[in-house]
Amino acid sequence: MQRYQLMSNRPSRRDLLKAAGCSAAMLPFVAPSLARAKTAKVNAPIQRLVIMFSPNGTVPTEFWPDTEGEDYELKKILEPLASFKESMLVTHGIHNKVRGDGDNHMRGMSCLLTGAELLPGNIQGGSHTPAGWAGGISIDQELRNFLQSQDSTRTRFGSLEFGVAVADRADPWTRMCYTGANKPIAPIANPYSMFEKMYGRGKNDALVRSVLDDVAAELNQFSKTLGKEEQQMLKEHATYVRKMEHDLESAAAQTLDVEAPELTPGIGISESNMPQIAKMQMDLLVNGFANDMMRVATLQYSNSVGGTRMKWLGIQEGHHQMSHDPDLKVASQESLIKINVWYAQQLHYLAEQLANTNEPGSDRSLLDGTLIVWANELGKGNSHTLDDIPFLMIGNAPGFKLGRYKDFGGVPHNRLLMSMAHAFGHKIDTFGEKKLSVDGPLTALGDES
Amino acid sequence: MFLRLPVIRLATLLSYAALYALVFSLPQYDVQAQENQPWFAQGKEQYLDQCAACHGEQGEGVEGAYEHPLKGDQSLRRLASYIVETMPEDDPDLCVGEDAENVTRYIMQAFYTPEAQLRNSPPDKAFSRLTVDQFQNSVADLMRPYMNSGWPSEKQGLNAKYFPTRSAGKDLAFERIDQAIDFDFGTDSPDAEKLKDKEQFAIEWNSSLIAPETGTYEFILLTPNGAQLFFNGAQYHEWDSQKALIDNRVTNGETEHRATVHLRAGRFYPFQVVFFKYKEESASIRLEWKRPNRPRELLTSPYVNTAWSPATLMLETDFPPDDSSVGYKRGTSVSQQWDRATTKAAVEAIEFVDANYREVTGYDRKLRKKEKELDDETKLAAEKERVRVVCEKFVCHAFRRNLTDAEKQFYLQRPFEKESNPRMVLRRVVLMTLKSPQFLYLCQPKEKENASFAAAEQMAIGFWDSIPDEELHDLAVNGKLSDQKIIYRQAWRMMDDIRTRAKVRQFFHHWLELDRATDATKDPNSFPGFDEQVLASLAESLDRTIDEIVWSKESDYRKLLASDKMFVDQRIADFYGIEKPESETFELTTFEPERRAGVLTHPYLMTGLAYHKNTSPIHRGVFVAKSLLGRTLKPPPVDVEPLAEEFDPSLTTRERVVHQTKEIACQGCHSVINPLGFSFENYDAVGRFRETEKDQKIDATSDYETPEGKIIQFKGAKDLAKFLVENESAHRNFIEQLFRHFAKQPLAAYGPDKIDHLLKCFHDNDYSVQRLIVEMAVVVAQHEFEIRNAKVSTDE
Repeated sequence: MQRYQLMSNRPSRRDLLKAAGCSAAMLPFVAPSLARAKTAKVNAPIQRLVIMFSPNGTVPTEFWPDTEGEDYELKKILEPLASFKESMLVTHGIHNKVRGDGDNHMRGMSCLLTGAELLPGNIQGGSHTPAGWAGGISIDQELRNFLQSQDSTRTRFGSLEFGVAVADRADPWTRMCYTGANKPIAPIANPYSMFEKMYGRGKNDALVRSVLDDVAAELNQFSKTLGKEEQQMLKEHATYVRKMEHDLESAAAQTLDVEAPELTPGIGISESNMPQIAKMQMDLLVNGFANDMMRVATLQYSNSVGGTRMKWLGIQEGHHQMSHDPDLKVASQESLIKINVWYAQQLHYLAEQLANTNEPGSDRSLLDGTLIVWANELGKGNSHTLDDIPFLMIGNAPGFKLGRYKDFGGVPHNRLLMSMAHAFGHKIDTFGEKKLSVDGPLTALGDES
Repeated sequence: MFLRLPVIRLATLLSYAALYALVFSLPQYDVQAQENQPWFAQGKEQYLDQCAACHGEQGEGVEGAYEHPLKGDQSLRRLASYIVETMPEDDPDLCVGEDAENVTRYIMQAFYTPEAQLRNSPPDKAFSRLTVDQFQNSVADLMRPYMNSGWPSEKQGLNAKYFPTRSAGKDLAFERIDQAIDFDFGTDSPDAEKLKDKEQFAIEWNSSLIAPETGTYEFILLTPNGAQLFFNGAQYHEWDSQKALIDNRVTNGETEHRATVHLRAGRFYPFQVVFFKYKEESASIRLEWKRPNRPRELLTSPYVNTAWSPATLMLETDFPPDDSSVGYKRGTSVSQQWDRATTKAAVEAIEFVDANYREVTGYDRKLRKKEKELDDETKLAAEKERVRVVCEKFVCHAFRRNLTDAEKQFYLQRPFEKESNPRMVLRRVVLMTLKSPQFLYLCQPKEKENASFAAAEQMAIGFWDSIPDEELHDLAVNGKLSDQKIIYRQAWRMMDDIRTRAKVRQFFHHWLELDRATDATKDPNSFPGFDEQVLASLAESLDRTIDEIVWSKESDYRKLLASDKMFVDQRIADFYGIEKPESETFELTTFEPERRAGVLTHPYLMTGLAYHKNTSPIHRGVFVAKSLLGRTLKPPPVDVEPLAEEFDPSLTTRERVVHQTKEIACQGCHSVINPLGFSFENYDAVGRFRETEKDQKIDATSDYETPEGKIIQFKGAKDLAKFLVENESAHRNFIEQLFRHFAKQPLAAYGPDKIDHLLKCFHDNDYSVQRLIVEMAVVVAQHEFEIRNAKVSTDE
């Protein structure tokens, strides 16, 4: 079947399917990229946003460069990102200044993208007062709504929320995306589920397809043991099996702009498979962008207070527990560096995939219009500080001057969130807590200085 | 069919249709002797000459003339008198007197009566795939890791653990059994002694839910505090909980939380509720549910049980409905929709197996620990072996027999050659098995050595509409079911299973046509206070009343029609003016003993068989004629609406019915229906006893004419009940209907003598319903041996 493009004088997808003799009911919903067709006429690259989260603060000495400006050094944790040095912005001095109920891990997580205080509630952290969910929308969803409100930027999903090894419980530590106050979004931490959401029942379709020949043969065999009338029923049954085979083949042949990634089957959703799961999720994310299914994505590794044991790095202890250890405990520091290096490697993989994938129909790479923001719920683990959140950006966005290290000197992160919105043309005056937004977006992001 | 005929013939046709009524077993007699009688030849000649042009040579009907076959069970007297008056259509005077009598006797002997029909075309066991119910039950039962049949513990309710801090699982303060989750602690703790801190505490409830019927259930968790409902195996851990069905651990101002699940009758579903209070002003929690067709109500015993149970697969796939044109569901056709649904369901099953991989393959903590020191290759080999064992068991149970060598190769060896990952092998085998005709069709090989497997299959279908469980399967494997004693023992064991209860309950719902009452609404002016809550209580009351009788030791069918006891709760007591039971649940109470006749006059039944405001003697009469006496009435003529009350407001309901059905065209059926229906006139549209209607005394007396022409006088429903208790046709009909529900096949397909055999068993065992079911199981099981033995002797 020919690849079809969105053009009004072409037959519709349904027509094509009809012509091919199969029904749409069986097929995964493949949305043509309406928005891309519209945006393609303009010269600017299509803008997209990825927010990647990893937990428990960073190791400051191995994260922040010593020198500000374009000639910054790459410390151990950022070494894997060397190839993106020129399109990377390392920040310092952006604080999560949201206060109110909840401990720092809770606020670090649930206020990270909302910039809003937690609502009163019944969940008690390690200190402070009990709290509930965040009191406002998160910036990814704010932007999603903005993009979905316009024909030229509307996509099938708007946003997709990916998770990797996120604890299977819902509380202010595990949720950073909110559609509004009290409305957390659960990230999808199972790549097979995400695959199904994006492409339909593909994973099982393939398995079903692979047994249908055998089923047909068995029906035939079984039929021979029966009387004439009974054989009629089996004959009818066999035609449906053939029909399904045909439908599944047509479904598989349905073209996206870019083919769906092949997921390794049978990977258990467990912590020890985190590397494989991470790769699958990132491949899906990149493919989602390439097929213009969404313009906003979040990628949440573990969760606030995440206790991941990265055995594949030779680390037996949990991440959170080690993040509490004093700086002087060398073994823990080394492990924490290793963990953060691993996260940097993940970021590198993602950025590289985006850089190596062309926007279909153009010679631009996906990364040309994509801003990736790497965030954390804390600045540093053992101090539980919400100051100096290690925000790091890769890619491109209007108004963001990348390729440097800059210290912002202690501004509320609400201003960064506002800047992100402004970069997409969404000129909001305030985001989250009003008093933390009064100075507007971070103009220093675009500073030439 | 009517609509396809020329309009002009409609009136005649309808009147003729009215002639047919029903089915009665006439005494057995010698067919040949009858056909040698002179009237047979004379009647035949007459018939071929005057009737066959329109009715066909064998009464099969003639297209364009009279299309319906001539069959029914009118008495000789009635049929003859109808022929005298109306036939042949163009000249009724042509066939009168002795001619009419001869032709009537000929028709009856040759093809008209049910016996003649049976003789001319004895029914075969219909070749059948699993019905939708059977498919879903079988898949759910196959997925139970231990495959044990379910039986609840003596202890109903929920195991409750109370903890002194907000952390469930920490520092257990005390345990107890709660009958329901329904607490308002206010500002206090649940126990001032054992839980001193009012600011914080936690409770964990564990229980198994027993689904009384198949359908969609909704849970409603009411609490302002933090709480989670884990359903079907998922569980709470402080830092690593599995997916909660309702997750309100973090409070958000909402106090009502809902979730929906699809459950299967007679299956167990483990669930857990974890609740905690932390510094909130007050604490309360209540768990309600909404069963199919019931209003929301507190979830409590007997539907919650302290017995542990493994997770049960909950299929979400929608299936196209099975054919039920013959009065019970049959799997006698396939469709594309059905094929797709079975595939989708099979995929759901693989996902369940995948999600429960460790449990399914028996890879428990102990084994994990033991394997800790082993290298990866050895571990993989062990995993493969575990999967192979599971696959073998799975395929054998699904096919309900041993595998042939070819099948072993196909299902147990080849998949391992195709896939290296054992998990993928299991997925593939499960999918192949559930798509296989060996699973989907009820058709065991015809060889003699498969008789035991076929017998086990038939028994499992009979009791559970599912596959044989482990014990039955093993007996079949060892060929033990040829021993009648073992069949009896197994039948009694299988009877004692919650799934059997669910299936028997389904039968009574069907037999008593209870779906008529499901959504009944009544005129609020005439019946103030009769709301969906009262209706729900009545539904529950009837279920419990039937259960009480059927599952007692005597299990006496006659009590169903004669008992003066009924289960009553406070709502029923209030509405029907009965003395209130002491407890809040249902109690068995004597209810108007001089007026009531078992389930026949149960208010729920009476409510369903009535209109919004008035009674409906026609519905009640048809119900008794068809469901209880086994008379298969023709459908009523098109376009006949019941006469509205406004037609003549002075008439009573009975008078209106008499007026409307007085035409001869109607009397063919209504002479049967009306007297049966009138005997219930003392029970109004919600089943309350009444002495008058419109200031006139109720007339519930009637004369019912049996097919043999005998007139029975009823003074009311109690007389009717007495007649039904003693009437052999009613017994035969009960046996036939129960059998069809049990085996999904007509009884005659198992041999013409089986009905008499079961009737004798029924009579000899004081009308025990349980015993009757056991005898049915023996009939279907032994049949598999009989046909295979017969085949062997013809082969020889």
